[in-house]
Amino acid sequence: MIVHGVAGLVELCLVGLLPALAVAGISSATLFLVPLASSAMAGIAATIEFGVGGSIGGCFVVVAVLANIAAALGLAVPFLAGVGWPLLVLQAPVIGFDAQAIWLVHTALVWGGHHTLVAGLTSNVYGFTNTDYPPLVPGTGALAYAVVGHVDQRLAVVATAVLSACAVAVLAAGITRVVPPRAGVVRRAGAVVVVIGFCGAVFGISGQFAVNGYTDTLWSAAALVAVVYGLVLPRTSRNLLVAWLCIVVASLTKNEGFVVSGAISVLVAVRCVPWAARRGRHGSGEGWARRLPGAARALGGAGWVRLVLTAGVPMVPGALWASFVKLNGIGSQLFISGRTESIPLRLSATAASMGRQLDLAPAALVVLLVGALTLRHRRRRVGAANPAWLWTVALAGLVVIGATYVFGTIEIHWWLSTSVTRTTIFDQMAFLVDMTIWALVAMTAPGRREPEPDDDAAQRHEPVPAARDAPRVEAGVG
Amino acid sequence: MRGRDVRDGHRARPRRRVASVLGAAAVVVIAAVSVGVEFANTVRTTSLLSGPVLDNQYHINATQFACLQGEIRRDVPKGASFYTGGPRNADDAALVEYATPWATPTWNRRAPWELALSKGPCWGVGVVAHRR
Repeated sequence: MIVHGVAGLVELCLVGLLPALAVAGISSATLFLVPLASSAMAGIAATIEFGVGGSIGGCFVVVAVLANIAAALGLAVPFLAGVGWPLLVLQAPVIGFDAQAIWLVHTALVWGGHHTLVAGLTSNVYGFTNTDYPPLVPGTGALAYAVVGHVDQRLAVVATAVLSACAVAVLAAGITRVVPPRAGVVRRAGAVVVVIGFCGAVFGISGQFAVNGYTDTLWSAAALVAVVYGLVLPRTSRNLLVAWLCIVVASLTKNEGFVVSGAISVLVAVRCVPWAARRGRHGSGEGWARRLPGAARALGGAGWVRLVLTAGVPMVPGALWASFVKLNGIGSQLFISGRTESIPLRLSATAASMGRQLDLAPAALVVLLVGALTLRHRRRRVGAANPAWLWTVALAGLVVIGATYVFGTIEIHWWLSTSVTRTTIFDQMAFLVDMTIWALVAMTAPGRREPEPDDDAAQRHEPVPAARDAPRVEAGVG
Repeated sequence: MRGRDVRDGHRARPRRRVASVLGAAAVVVIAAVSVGVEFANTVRTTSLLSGPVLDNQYHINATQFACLQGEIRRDVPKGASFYTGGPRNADDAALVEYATPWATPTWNRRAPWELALSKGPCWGVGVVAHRR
């Protein structure tokens, strides 16, 4: 009885979730508004049943579907438009080679249960599937199998592609936050066009790998969400949590995602912790600026402890997986056999091959140079941090991928020819993100001073602190 | 404030204002061209992947995969371990993909079952299962 009651309540809440979010945003009121939104739909459905005909269930479904579509459109029209149309190819999905040989095999192992999973991942026979790869995508696919009750490879591929598209949409949503809330209608409309173009361009960088069951787009986009929210946008508790969540996603998606996420996590901590401590000392801290140092102090107190905690928390799930892999003696297939080529030869082949793929790098460098020389004041005004953060992460990604090729043991030319188009997606996407942010900065009005957004109060539309208390967001420091 | 660049309470010099406008234009143009080029890639990829050839190929691959899985499930009991022919066998990976998670592949020659790919009813391919 209780179970049925809870199930009914959950069902009711799920139906009203999107409309409530569209109306009230994320706040404490939203939680209680959700069942009310659902019951409002039920009331409208009963009215239709009375006036037009049909059953309460049928009328409710019609009303709920219409309300949810309207809410979804109201919440995310530009992003839906941006990431929706490339997904049309999923009507007849193409399953990529690695998707079949790695991700769908791992998904089947997860679906098979604990014993099947452990036996499979620790077996040499499955070595060709890179058994040390993290489990986010297989876990999601297996969950989809559990919902439909049987193995459905097409469903798993579609789930991966939709996850990738969602990560791209969150990335686009983060980038648009560079545009100040008080910007004019024309500038905001321009930003929407830019963002729709950005979403389409990300799918262009990824090519078929965004939709054929590969995971490179997913980890790259998730890691860049962490970069945008943690290293570009103003330091707020909400931005930090979004960055952390996406660090978890990227680190649990692929090994290179784990390593790059580690670098991002450290940089986010380096950017945020000293600032939070400063805010706490001055008594002007809001949100996590007060909470996080306090929590960290309870565990140890020293500044470096706070730094390690902030950097370490989002890496815990990925580190846990890596520990399980290590404890079970599962090694990476990329370093397992003897290397046949010299390091200089591998280095030159890697540099040449990756260089050919990074065709956005020259344009991004020019934009960086021009932007830094002429637009740094505008960038500071909109609260976007120094582009050096993003470029540091992009370089870290290049070094991680490059080092894997150079110090790996697989025959280098074959390896590069079969993978370099995918492994450079992260850096190509990072260059595109930086150029898009600079373009949005360039589209802001010159000389118009925007309210300082660099604290939680601005997020909650509360009065902005006095200028002398507000932290300095310098193009070279922030 | 239109036409005036005010920073730190001082009026910016006209030269800086001109540089800022030119810089903004350059940044927008370069970013737009880059986004446009990649956007065109998406259009190309989307139309390629939506074409009837790949649609047909997906249909063949999917039905062949399901057919071979069905053959293994018909001949080999659930959970049984089978020998695939060892790491140098080219069919090893394919058999592992078809069998997971129904049966357990192993390189142990003493496994109760041995599987191999051969000519058969699944778009020209089939699975031969030997009980040992």
